[in-house]
Amino acid sequence: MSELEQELHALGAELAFPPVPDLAADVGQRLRTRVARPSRFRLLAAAAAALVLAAAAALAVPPARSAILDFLGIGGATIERTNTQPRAPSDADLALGPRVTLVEAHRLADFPIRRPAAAARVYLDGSVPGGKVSFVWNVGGRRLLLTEFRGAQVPYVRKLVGPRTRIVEVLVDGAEGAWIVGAAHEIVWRDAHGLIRPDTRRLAGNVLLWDRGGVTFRLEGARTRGEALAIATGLRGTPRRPAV
Amino acid sequence: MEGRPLTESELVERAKRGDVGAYERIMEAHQAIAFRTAYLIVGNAADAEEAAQDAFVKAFRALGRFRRDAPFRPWLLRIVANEARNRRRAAGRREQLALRTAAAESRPGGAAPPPEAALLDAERRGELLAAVNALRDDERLVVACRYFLDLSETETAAALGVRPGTVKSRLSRALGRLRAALEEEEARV
Repeated sequence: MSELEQELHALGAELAFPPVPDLAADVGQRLRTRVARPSRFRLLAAAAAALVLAAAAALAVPPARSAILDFLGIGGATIERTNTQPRAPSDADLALGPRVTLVEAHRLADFPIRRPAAAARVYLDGSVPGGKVSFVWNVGGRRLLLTEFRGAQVPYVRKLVGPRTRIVEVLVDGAEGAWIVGAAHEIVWRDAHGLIRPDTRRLAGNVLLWDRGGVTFRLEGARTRGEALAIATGLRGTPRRPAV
Repeated sequence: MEGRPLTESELVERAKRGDVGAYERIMEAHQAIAFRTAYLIVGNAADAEEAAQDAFVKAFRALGRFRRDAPFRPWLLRIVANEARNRRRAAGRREQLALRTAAAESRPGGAAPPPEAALLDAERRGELLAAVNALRDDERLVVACRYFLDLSETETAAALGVRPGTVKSRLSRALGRLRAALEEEEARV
């Protein structure tokens, strides 16, 4: 190398480049969550897409494994790892807690319940602080599941979002929500020893997740975003308690 | 469970299958060079950051076309340089990037200057920098790629979107111009 070239190398060593931004993290985030528009709502979308460890005390986090899985409507004692779409389970497979009447659910839950316009079977899981209320009903052979529980974030859930998963921010009557398409869900839960453990199960169907008034709503089984939003915006408040 | 770190080739294979975590590790290894290459082309840090980001996203999506075991960096830099050039064209800016050297105080941790720097005294460094900044864009860029970023001839060609032969000839012309400019300086003294 000529002297000039050596000098150029020396010059290069002294050049002031601007500091290198953390592109890996930014791009990683971008690849994991393709949001329609950046917005202040990122918090819930991120909560749906990322591990949420904060505010554990404020949330209903059942300590036992099966309770967490029930809580998320994932299933009973056995978890199958499968690459194929699981057959739609019966209500019992969902382990939603005992079946109750709407009035009982309203009485026992400590938050204002919203119910779907369609007639639905109601379940209440009392092991979740504040109660977890689930509605199950059928539309044209498909099963829809609406779950609601007190909490502004989905706790200990990390939804693995791969290239085929999309998260789209939506508004549900002004409340911020996320429509998660094609998500393979990775559940992270805390076992009896307090250790965080991952578990994975592909969830059938797309999920609409939204947060309103300190309550998280989760609707699973809608075919399209439009259908999910129609159901979500069509929810009704619970009936007044009958005068005693 | 492997006990050793994954090779880049293995990381690329995983990234191809959608493993964003593996891709993040690849990006960490190349983000500095990607950003600086974009910076040299586009002339400012903000556009460079966006160009490099977009390039990484595009590269991830194009991994299907990436040949296994091919060297990753030249392929990546070609995408980065394309993004940077597009951005520069779209911005319509004619700003010429004036390279500057880091002041001694601003060196991280007050580190001593690298040994090669001993080759240049302050005066010579100033002259050389001025001469480089006075080159035309394409010649300055090829000098910067080869000597400041230490890209290989192949990588420089990929980044600039030209044939390796063009890199050679452009570089040779650039060095000739630099020599002439520096001799003029000396003659003046």
